[in-house]
Amino acid sequence: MLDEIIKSKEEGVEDVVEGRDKKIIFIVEDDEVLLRALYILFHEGNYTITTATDGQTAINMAERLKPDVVLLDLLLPKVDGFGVLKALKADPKLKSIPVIVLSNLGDVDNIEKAKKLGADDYFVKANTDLSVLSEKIKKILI
Amino acid sequence: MLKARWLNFVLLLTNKIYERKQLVFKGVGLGVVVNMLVLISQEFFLGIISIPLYLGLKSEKVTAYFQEKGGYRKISFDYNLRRILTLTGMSVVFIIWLIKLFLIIITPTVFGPLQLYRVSDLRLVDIMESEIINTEAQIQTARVVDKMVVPELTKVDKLRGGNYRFYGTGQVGTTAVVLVSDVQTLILTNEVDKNGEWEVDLIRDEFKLNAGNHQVTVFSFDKKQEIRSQASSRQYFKSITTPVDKLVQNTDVFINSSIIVVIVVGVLLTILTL
Repeated sequence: MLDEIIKSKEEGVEDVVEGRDKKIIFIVEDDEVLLRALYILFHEGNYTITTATDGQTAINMAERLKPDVVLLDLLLPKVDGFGVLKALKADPKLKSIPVIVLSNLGDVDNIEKAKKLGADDYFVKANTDLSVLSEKIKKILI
Repeated sequence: MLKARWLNFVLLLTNKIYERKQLVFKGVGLGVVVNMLVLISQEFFLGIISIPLYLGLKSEKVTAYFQEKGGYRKISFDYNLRRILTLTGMSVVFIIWLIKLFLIIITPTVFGPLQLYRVSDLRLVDIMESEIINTEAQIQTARVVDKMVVPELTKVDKLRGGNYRFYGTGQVGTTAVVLVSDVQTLILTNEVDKNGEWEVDLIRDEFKLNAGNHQVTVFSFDKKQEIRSQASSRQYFKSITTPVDKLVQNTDVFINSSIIVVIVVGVLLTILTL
């Protein structure tokens, strides 16, 4: 059953958009375990959670999905998180979507770079309490 | 609260794994091997901790769209490694437990009720053992002679497997007798060599020394004249049971307990994902 979920492709986005009755959290994370951990963190709320595991898929999905908030990792296959951030902020229809970065990269240069590109907040994985992150996302979605 | 802590721990561990991977890529020589071993240990631990993340999701509740992983070799490797390590570890413990359970249930039906205590290998005392018994009897009944040189205990070593070796000096041509106190007093003997030195071994198979302080006294025994020296002044040594000793001694208990721990942790974590 789990494999079926994993094999689901981005075509499923239309189903989410058509039946949209909840706010959408879009998680872009390439680590399977962490992706599922984040899913568990948020799925109890009244949200629809969509996910992508690489940058290019994230850009493609975001254009059609128009999520209410994006939780973005920076080290991603195909297109990295900075590329995703740049693409989202360059699109007039998507640039208002809040983007929260959750990354392993904790140096000042990367944090400043992400904020310059339009990240609304930046969390370093090693120092992050997920309940704080959860509160931040919920506050955005109110 | 517990769920948040668990998820935080998963996050922390995935970050540690990321950092360790960076060290593997940057390192050279033996450092790479060490980092690889640490990385595998971390992956294994994360695999155990995050079992519900593999097994606990329910499809009817999921509205998630994952990109097919086939194209990303590295991710696929990580994911499968964790899964294989987790399931292999779990399976090994579970199979051992099942075999034990099977034997406990089946053995009495095939061989009858279990005989937990049984006398076996009862045999006559051979010449060697007979001599030892006679010598011990002689030692205990020997006359004490003040002029005889009192031997000295100089060193105690702990050997591999929980055995001990006692070293000392004494009068050439006599037997050094070492008394070690425990639940019962143990008598160890050996001849003093031509250099006036002796050593005796306490083998664990014959006598298990409990952890704690033990009193040791030594005296000389002359077999021919059936006389012995005064006892040396009391000395003490401490027998320490290391964690490795305990682990080896309690492997069976450890295996039985581990399955309970794994099941309890698994159930707890699965409840957290509901």
